[in-house]
Amino acid sequence: MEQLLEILEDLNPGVDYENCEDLIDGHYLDSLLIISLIAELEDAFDVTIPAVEIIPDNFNSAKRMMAMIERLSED
Amino acid sequence: MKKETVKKLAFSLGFVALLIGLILLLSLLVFSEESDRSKGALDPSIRGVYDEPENTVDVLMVGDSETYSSLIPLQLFEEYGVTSYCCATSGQLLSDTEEILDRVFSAQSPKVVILETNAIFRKVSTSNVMLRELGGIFSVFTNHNKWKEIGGNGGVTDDESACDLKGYRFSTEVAAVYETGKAKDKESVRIASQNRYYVERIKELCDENGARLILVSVPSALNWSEGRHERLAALAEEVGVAFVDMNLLSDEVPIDWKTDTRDHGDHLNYFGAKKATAFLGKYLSENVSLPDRRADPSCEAWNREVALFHAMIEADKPIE
Amino acid sequence: MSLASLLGAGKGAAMTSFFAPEFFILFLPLAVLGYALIPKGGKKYWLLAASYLFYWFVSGALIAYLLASTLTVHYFGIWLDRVQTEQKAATAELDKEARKALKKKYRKKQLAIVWLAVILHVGVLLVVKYSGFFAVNVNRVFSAFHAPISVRVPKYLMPIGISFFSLQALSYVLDVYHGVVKADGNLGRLALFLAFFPSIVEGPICRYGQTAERLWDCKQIEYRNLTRGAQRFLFGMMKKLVVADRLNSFVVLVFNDYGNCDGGVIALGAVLYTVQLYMDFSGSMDAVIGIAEIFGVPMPENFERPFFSRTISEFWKRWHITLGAWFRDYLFYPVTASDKMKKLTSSARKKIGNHYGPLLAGSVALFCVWLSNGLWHGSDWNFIFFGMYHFVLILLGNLIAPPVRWINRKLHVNPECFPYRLLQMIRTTVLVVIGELFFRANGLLSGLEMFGKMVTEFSVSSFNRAFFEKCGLDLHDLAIVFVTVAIVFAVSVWQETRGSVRDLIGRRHVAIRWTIWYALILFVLVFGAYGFGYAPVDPLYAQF
Repeated sequence: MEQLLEILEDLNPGVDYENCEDLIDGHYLDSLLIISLIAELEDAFDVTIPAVEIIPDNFNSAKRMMAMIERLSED
Repeated sequence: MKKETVKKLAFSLGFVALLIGLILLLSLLVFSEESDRSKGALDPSIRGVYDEPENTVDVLMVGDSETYSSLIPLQLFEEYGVTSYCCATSGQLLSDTEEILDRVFSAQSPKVVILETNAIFRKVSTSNVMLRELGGIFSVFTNHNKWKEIGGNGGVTDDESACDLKGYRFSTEVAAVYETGKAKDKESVRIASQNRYYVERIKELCDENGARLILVSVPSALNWSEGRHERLAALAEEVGVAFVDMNLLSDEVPIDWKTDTRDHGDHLNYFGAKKATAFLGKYLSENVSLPDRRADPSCEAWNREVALFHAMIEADKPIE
Repeated sequence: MSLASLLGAGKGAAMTSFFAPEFFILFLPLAVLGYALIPKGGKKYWLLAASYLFYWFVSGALIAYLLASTLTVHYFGIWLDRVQTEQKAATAELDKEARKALKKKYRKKQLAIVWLAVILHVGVLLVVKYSGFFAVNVNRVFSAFHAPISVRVPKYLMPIGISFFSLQALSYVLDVYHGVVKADGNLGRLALFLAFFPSIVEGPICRYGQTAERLWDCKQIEYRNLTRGAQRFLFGMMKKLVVADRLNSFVVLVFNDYGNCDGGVIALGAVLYTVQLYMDFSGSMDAVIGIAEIFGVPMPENFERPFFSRTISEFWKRWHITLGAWFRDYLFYPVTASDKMKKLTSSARKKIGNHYGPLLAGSVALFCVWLSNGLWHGSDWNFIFFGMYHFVLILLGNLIAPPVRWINRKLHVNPECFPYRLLQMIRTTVLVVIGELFFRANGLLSGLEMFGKMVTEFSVSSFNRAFFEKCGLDLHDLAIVFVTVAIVFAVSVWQETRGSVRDLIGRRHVAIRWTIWYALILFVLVFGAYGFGYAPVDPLYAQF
């Protein structure tokens, strides 16, 4: 989780990533940032994030992102 | 639950009933047929027909843009003394044609009605029929466009000095047909059953009002085809009306598709219209007895318009 | 008379407009009434039959395309499902490494099925929509080199809505492949999802997961849904009949006869075309969503007040939303999330920073999206230009974002203050209007000429009485258009800041409520551009 928050902060500072629940729907993360984020996450957590996982539901909060990463790394 | 359903049903029915009442009220008070007879919801471009003194128009032309581009009432008057009016509107549907005739017959008693045939192939949809029938009950459906006249005509003043072309639309633009001599065959040569029905209705209406209906095809390189001609000839025979196809009379109506069309063979320009009208005048003089009104005092204004028309042709543009 | 024409094939072509009396006075009430009276188990079949009947009315024998698409997609779904089940059974007992290897094999197999579906659908679209365009351009090249050969220009009848239901069908296959939805064994449900009569003409483009279940579930019609659906329909009717259709003659005249128009008139034509397109398309969407609401099915929105957008990229999140979302999910992300692009992003990010790093891969994907988007709208150069225009605008927007932020900071401009936002909205709207000019133009050449005239010969002297007479409009028409646009604007502002207007009205006393709805009905009845002298205008997006 710490690592994820660091990545997010590094990409786009100034958002309360720990508590924000509408990162996508609230337009905090646009599509370009998502592209970067995915590349970073794949590097950091050694997972593959397929395009189909790129839905608001998976990226709206740090918790949801973590859940997705855990699910993907189990496969 | 049961009670609730009944209440909702009553509400819905009440809403609809009140709505019908309101539409009826609107039809009777504001958009009624009577208040509309003299002037009205008809397309502004042909409203001038109501300004003609009663029972002075002997020939009515109806149809679509082919008609108002090809037939020149003032020329008919100048050459034969025949008074006519071109009640054509763009994209006219036969259901509209019937409505127009019905209205004009209340003020004029023409001896001849000329229905240009291009409109016969424009399909009258179920929606058009429904609108017409609804309009028969609630006149607001037919006359609603009259809202523009309520409370003055919005600063658009009629220019008294302009030439009244009696429904003809003047154009001297020239745009030659792309491939001369080749009439593009129209895909749909079938006459829809609704359209056939309306032709019959129009015939009945003309009969009731003592007018003779004639089907006329004006020259058009783009809209004419042999298939269409055959269909029309068969229809004319079944309905019992005369049918004249100028497209087959290249000697009497010598259209030059390089110079006589304004849009590559769809519509005639003035030069083509002059030829078509000359033929029509000759045809009418040979087949129908119509009074020569050139000396008729009630048609004095016509002579003035003819002079204005000549000035306009001279200047080669509509007088503003 | 052939059998097909006796049975009414293609008879109701006018029905493609939801505001044609034969649709909303005859077909729709009968469909709703039958649906309400039929017992629960039969409702879904009634709805499916009504949908096919509707399509038969508007398209006749071309319904074969829809049926073929439905059948193949249904089969592809089941096929994918079978491969996926096989894979699960085969990999269940294996360790991680072996599982990965085997998975790859099965993935390949599935991918082949997906490609088959894509090639089939895109292939049909290419043939039906684009072969003519292709042949014309090949001939142009031949004649440019004075080659004495030419290709016959083929002409196909395009089934109504093919661009829309093909995308829905593809999204279903892709969703099954990705495991987002389960393959549907029920052919009827899938058929209804693709053919549901309100949305087949011009969308919205729904996903299987959004509407298929709800449609097949067939709840009884509820009073609240019925009234709210009807209200929404009515509002759409006002947009289309009072504004869009009234402006049509003006727009047609300017775009067909621009040679005789001044730059000022062309500019006005472009603005009014944009208004017409919005009122036409969003009005039709109000009708579709309203009708679906009557049947108790929530549909995805296609418009969210697009002219309040601050940037072009925001505009496309608010205008024709479902098309943008389709391209985003099935083209943009797959391209950017491909291995090569990911590597590019990672390395570029380290070199040129967080903002510009992902832009490289993003631009490649964006280019694909906008080329497809342009082509989707039609097979002509002006549509490709339209796509590229928006691609460049969005790219520029991304490129200049950091310097603009820097300048704003230096000048102490708060980008959230109202005047700044307003300026952004106006700028975005102006850019959109220019785009729509090319979109509507009869070919790219006309578009460029019109744009040139607009810039170099800006005057309004041709805007005189003769002009008005030619297009049959007068000051009354412009006034009523203005009033109606003002109503739509007021509603939009309320929706943007407060929420639903129907809720607002619904809370009032019954007398006020009814007065408002009666006023709206009579308003459309009197001021609608229908009946004498007005040829009905087909919905503008039904041709795409």
